[in-house]
Amino acid sequence: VIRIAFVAAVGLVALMVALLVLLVVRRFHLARIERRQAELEERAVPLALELVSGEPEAERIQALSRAEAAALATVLQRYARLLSGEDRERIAQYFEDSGLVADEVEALGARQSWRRALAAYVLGDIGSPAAVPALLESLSDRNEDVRAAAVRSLGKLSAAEAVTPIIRLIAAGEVPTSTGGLALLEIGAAALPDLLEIIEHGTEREQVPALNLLVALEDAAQEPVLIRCLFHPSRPVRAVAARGLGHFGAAYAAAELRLALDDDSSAVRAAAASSLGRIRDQDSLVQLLRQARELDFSAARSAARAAGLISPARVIEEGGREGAPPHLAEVADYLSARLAW
Amino acid sequence: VNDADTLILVADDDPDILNIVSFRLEQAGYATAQASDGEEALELARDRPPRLCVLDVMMPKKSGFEVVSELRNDPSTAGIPVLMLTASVQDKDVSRGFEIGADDYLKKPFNTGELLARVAALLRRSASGPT
Repeated sequence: VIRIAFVAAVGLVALMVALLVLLVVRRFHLARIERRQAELEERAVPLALELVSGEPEAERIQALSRAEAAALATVLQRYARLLSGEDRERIAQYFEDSGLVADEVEALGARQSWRRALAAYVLGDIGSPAAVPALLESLSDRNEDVRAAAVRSLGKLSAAEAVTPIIRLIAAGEVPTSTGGLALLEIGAAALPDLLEIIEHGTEREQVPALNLLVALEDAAQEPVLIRCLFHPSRPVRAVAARGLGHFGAAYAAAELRLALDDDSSAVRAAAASSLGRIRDQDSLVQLLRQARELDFSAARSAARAAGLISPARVIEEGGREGAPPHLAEVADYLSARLAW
Repeated sequence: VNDADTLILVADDDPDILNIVSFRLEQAGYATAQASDGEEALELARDRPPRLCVLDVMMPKKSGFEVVSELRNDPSTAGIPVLMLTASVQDKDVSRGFEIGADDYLKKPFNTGELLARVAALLRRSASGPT
């Protein structure tokens, strides 16, 4: 038994040593590959810079080995994220001419989901509008990483035709709101017609992200849309509209926001109070002081804070009284401390 | 042409931006000095005052805002025009840059053609003196 145990122990030690050696060799091998890749990328920089500035020598590009061409593509992808306008168009043109766009579009149909996601991601960095139709199809991919990468890339490509599908994916929870929102922001003003259409005729789940984006785009010309939405049948839509008007600093919407203080939804009352505070609407002070006494936490807190912004002296006086509501007392304490300091 | 007449200081912690901006400026006939953080940018600007600085906002050691502020407080560098490169889309950051003393800004991602046009305009304005 001792002998068997000894042999087994020696065998295990040998196995461990062999594994250790294997790991070390593998590490050295990977480090060598990384070093080689870094060298290739370093060497590709001058050609990449010439290409971006529109003065590359065609012979030099044609003479590149496969590894050198791959390194050049990596550098150009990095540059494409930093540049816009003609510079980015030149990079996209190079990728189209070299066949990389076609390769990556084909990879969107690969069996492995990681390869499809990588292709969707890379196509955004490459910046070629030729990839838009294929990326739009990838929005219905069964894998969420592929969908998210396609959404990101369509944003990078400013593809206005992707606005409605992206809003629908956000509404259905098939892409994260942050990813979809960022992509729509990158599309920018070109997204407006579709957003307005969704706000007018979409479902409630589509209207909320669409309206949020309309607010984020900060186009003051859209304030009438927000005012109309204050009277929308959907509570979440009304709440977004009320918050958005404060974000825009739309003082002329104060009368409508004061009406929203009587909304049956506490989220709408909270948002309206907050916006009235931001626009310093003196006429809403009495209503806000009354709302600061209500039982709903967020509506009362927003009203107390808004009142503090509009009239610090009045809030210090009201909040300092015996039996003052907690939110008003809290804001009064804060304002007094700030004045004392 | 003496380098000092055309020297532009480019400061950014991203080596790709340094490469791209310097290459395009050199191609347009300017000489460049490169810094990869705010402290190095200040040292270079004081050792050898450039005709213009292209500064990133977010840099290690000292931010672009701090660099502009210190340049403006030093009589030997106070008059150097500064173009800020910013990844921020916040208007308040842009306003802050102008308040501190930046002369112009460009948002990332940027177009190198526009960068060259802004550099040329700033140099033209600084050559004609304060208006």
